[in-house]
Amino acid sequence: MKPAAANSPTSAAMTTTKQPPPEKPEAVRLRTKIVLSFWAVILLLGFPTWWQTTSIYRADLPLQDMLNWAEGLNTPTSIPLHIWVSAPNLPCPDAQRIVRETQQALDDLNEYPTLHQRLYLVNWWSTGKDNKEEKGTPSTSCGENPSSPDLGDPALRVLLEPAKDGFAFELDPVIAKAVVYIPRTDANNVSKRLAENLHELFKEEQVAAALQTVALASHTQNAQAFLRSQPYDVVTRIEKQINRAYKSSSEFHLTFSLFTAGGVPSSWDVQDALSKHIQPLVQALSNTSEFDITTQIQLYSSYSPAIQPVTKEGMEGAFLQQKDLTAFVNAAEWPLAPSIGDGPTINFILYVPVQDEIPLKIDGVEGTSWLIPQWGGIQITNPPLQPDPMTGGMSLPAHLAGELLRQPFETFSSQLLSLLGVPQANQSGKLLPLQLRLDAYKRFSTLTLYLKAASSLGSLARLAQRLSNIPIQKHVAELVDDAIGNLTAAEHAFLESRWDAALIHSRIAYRDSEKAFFDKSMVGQVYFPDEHKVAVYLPLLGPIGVPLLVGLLREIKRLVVRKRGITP
Amino acid sequence: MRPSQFLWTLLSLVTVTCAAHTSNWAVLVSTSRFWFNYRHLANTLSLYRTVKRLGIPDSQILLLLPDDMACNPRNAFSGTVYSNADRRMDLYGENVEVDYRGYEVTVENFIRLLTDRWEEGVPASKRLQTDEGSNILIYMTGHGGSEFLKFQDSEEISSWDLADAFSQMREKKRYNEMLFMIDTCQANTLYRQFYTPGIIATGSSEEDESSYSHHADNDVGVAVIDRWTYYVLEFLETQVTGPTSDKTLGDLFDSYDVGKIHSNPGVRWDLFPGGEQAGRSRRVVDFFGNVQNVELQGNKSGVELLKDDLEGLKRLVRDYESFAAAQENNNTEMLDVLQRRTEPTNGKNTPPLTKQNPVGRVNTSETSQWTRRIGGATVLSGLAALWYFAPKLV
Repeated sequence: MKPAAANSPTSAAMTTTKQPPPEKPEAVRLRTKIVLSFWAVILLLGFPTWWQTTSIYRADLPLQDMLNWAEGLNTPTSIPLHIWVSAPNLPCPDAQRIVRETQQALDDLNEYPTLHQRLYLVNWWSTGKDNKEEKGTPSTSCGENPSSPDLGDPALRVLLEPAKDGFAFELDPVIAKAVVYIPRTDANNVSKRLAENLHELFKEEQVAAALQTVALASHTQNAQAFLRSQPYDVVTRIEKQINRAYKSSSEFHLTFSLFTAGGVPSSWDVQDALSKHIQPLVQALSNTSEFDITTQIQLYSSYSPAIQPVTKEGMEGAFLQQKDLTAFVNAAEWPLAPSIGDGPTINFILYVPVQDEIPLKIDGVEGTSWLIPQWGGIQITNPPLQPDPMTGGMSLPAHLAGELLRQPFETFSSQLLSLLGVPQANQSGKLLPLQLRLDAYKRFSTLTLYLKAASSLGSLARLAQRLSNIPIQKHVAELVDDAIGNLTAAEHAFLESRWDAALIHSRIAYRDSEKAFFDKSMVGQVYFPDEHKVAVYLPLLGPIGVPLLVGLLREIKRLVVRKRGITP
Repeated sequence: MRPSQFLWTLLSLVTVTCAAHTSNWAVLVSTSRFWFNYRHLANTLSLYRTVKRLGIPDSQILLLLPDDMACNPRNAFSGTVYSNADRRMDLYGENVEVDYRGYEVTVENFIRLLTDRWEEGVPASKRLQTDEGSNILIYMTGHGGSEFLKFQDSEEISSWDLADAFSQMREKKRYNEMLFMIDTCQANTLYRQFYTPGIIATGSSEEDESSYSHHADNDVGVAVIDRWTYYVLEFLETQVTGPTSDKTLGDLFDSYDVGKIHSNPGVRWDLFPGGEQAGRSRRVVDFFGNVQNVELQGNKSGVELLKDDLEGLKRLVRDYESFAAAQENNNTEMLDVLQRRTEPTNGKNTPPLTKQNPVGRVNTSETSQWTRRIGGATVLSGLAALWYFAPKLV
């Protein structure tokens, strides 16, 4: 009934105005198909294309895993430090008792679990000396075999020797070995004193490790408590030592530069000096980091023009003000920081002033060398003047011979050690044996790289969660997987006190995590606020969208009308 | 008890020293080109002079200048840039190290600089190589509006972009404290979106307010400096006389005089730990000067100790060599021992490495295959629809 009622006004209107002929049914069907095909193209082709081209690719990252690493949930609760004890000339039960009691005393002395010393009775002495083994002393059966897979790398080897007079703890001056003389008489005191000595030996290393943990990790109550229990001056001294050093890296570049203010000297015996003073150090450190060495000579390169040296009455040469030393480096003109490879560059500069300024000294101090923390070392050298055969006057030598380089390069090598963060003399000014210090540096470096890798992963995870419009490429996810795998491996190595393996894995983990975080594709180009998006899409979608939408609505209306017409 | 009190003071000292500040960096940005924007370059160069005077070395200053006013053909005093009509001080001088110039000054490069995301081989002089101990001064000047700053008339950086870049820097521990200064119209809106702690921000003008230039030099022909920068510099030059000055940021911000600046400068403290009180007590030279001190060494000290070391080293090297020789001699036995010692580590450590990689790769390649299939199906169905309906249209 309804359609008829609706038709009546239109039929009435028809009589008054001229109407177009009614649409043919096939034309109506065709129009429906046209509208539908437009929509089909939009929905099937247009929408996926738009989605594909405007969405930001984000690879799946194991976010929770990464955060766990940064939180320290996967970090080993204790990192033991193995010490091998051998007592070839003591009865076996005595040796075992001493080791057990010393371990107990150590545990009482020191509750910080990182780098906690663990004593193992190991039969290293006899295997080291083949002739002793042949004798078949009873000690060969006492203690573990050094090649046993349960043992980690020894931080120190201790040899217990019986003695008539008092207790003595003697360190080898170079390698990580100690001989302990044990009196027969007061056996109780022995283990306590041995424990105290061992504790003292590794205490500063533990302080450094705790400081680094506090700086890099998030759960640090243990480390903070340990630091609080240590004397304040020791902590600040070690902290200064850490701050002076470059951040741990798997690669370093050493650049030795000769800058001369005039045209001479124009050559130096640098190969010789390097092989004498720097190479042995580099070789000893080579299991911790890689070192590249480059050298350069630059003529007519004076210090920064901001500096005016002063002259003094009755004194030869010129003087640099101490406050000017920070500005000495002429960063604009000296070609430093060549940016080769990934690692940081440590600069060593030997500066020869112009002849008028010789000798160039620093006002108020004896030496002419100084160290810029985390940058490098600078040394002014004043070579002796030589008579010039051409003019007859005195002039600078054209060549710096080996003898003139000896003192500067000795300074450079000591600066290199402190710039790397190799432990310095302790409170009483006593230096530990070199091997121990290099090992301590290796362990510190391993721990730092490990903590840094874990913290970078956490940073990346939080970043990915917070910034939704930052793209994350596939290779970033692969780097993250690699880093996590290596961190796991390093963690196992820590638990077994295998420092070489731990270092290798931490180093790869660090490199991969840094690469993942600093990937160049992850620059969220420009942030668009929502109103900007509307402003971009509206002019585009308005003119197209309105006819499409209206067409669709009309078709739907017609269909609804027809449906009701058929089934009233 | 005394000792326990002592421990507590120690605790506070330790936490303070752990957040130590060990180096200073400055990023000075001018964002506009063309001769009539002479003053923006002069602003930036004046700041550059000041931070250099207070001790930040050139290697730790990143200077971004999009145009070269000194060599502009319209410059009557070629080779020089002045920020004052008295032309007493040539800012260009002999020793200006511009790190980014001309069309290198873009939003992308600026964000890359802050977040240090570069392709390989970008020289160290162009990078902000800061760490958790670095204090950074960021100074920007140019033409801006509400929550944006124009770069070179073609792009703009928004407050959100800056905020996100700073949060990434914070995540990666790339700064200790930061002072953000901006001189542009509606400058205070530019730090509105910041959300990362450790930042003190200050700007020259409120929303819907212009920042004005201070004065023009009739011989140069254009304005030579902006008002806010002029008065900041005046304070820095007259009050902060050297790297040891103990003037604080509070003093600097109190020196703002609306009557002179002709706009309302703003300061934002709430992101700084300790808020306004802690921020006001920071010394000006904590940001404008250089904390990095040299360590003087006498030629004698240290070397004596090192001599023993070198002797020791030689012995070590000899030991290594003899060890290597021994290893070669009876390598069967040694290798056996070494292998037995390294085997367990290898056995335990390699599986996670080899496991995780293929999984990730397989996943990604599968999804990309699916998207390809769907794409192909869409194209095919679209073409089929076209083929079917096209004849009926005609």
